Amino acid sequence: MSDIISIGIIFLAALTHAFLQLGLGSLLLLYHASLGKHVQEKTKTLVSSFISGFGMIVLLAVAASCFIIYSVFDGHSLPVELLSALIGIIFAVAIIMWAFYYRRGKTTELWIPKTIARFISSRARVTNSNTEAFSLGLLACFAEFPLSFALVVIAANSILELNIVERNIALVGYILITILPLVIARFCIRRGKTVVDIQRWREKNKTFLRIISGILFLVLGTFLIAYRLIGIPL
Amino acid sequence: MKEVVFSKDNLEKEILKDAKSINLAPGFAATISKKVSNAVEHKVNKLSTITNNDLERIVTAELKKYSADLAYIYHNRDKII
Repeated sequence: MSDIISIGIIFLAALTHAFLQLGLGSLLLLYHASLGKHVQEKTKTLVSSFISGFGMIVLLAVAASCFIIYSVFDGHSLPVELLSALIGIIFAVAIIMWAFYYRRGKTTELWIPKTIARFISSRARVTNSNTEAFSLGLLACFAEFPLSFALVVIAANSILELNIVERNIALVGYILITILPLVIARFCIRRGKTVVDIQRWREKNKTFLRIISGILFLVLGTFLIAYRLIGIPL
Repeated sequence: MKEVVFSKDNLEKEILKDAKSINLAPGFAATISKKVSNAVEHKVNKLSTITNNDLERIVTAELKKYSADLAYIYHNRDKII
């Protein structure tokens, strides 16, 4: 039963992480810049490298969190005090999602520092090699770390509660769910959709995405309180 | 508001890049970029100073006459993230 709770937490954390928008926005910027100057084949490899970079930093972040928790707490789970603090952060991020994350108006701009947004935009414009695209993926994921940090640590804590085989499956599952929106965008563009189509969809459904993101953070926080802090039996 | 120096060649290149990124036919894209940059140049020459926002607004309005998608991507190119 404890495994089911752990898997539920990992799934919820990954799904919540997948709803963060900086990765998808950066991918669209890269697509737009690259399609304007390269042939489609080159763009495809650049985008694949971007997704690999994004997935790699998620893998490293979750694996490093697992290692730190395992080492610091001698193979035990996070203490209740730390878990409570993380739950607090998750509720705070839920409010940020609703109130600040998306800028007001008819735009998909995010409430990230302008300098970071400009730096990512300029890097996307000059990205010509797979290494640069890979690095851009790393950067896009890393730039959103203040919001995804708590999710990664919570997921790592739950991964450690599984057996060794399940740990690897859960880690791969977390990464796959997190990069799913990027893979879907790549697939859509491959099937003939343009950056404009995806961007218009994002703009049209901005409120929906905002509400869902906030709700997912709230649900995860409540789930953690119910099954980890209070310890309601399943 | 930042004052800018208008360059017809740069605008043409920018429009061609944007058009290529949304799969517009090359011939159609070349025609649009020429027509739009000529029209924008004509309007800009009438103004004593021009800001980034003015230029963006004029180009977007001109692009809208030929392709809504192209106008959209030009207008939103720095507003994705």
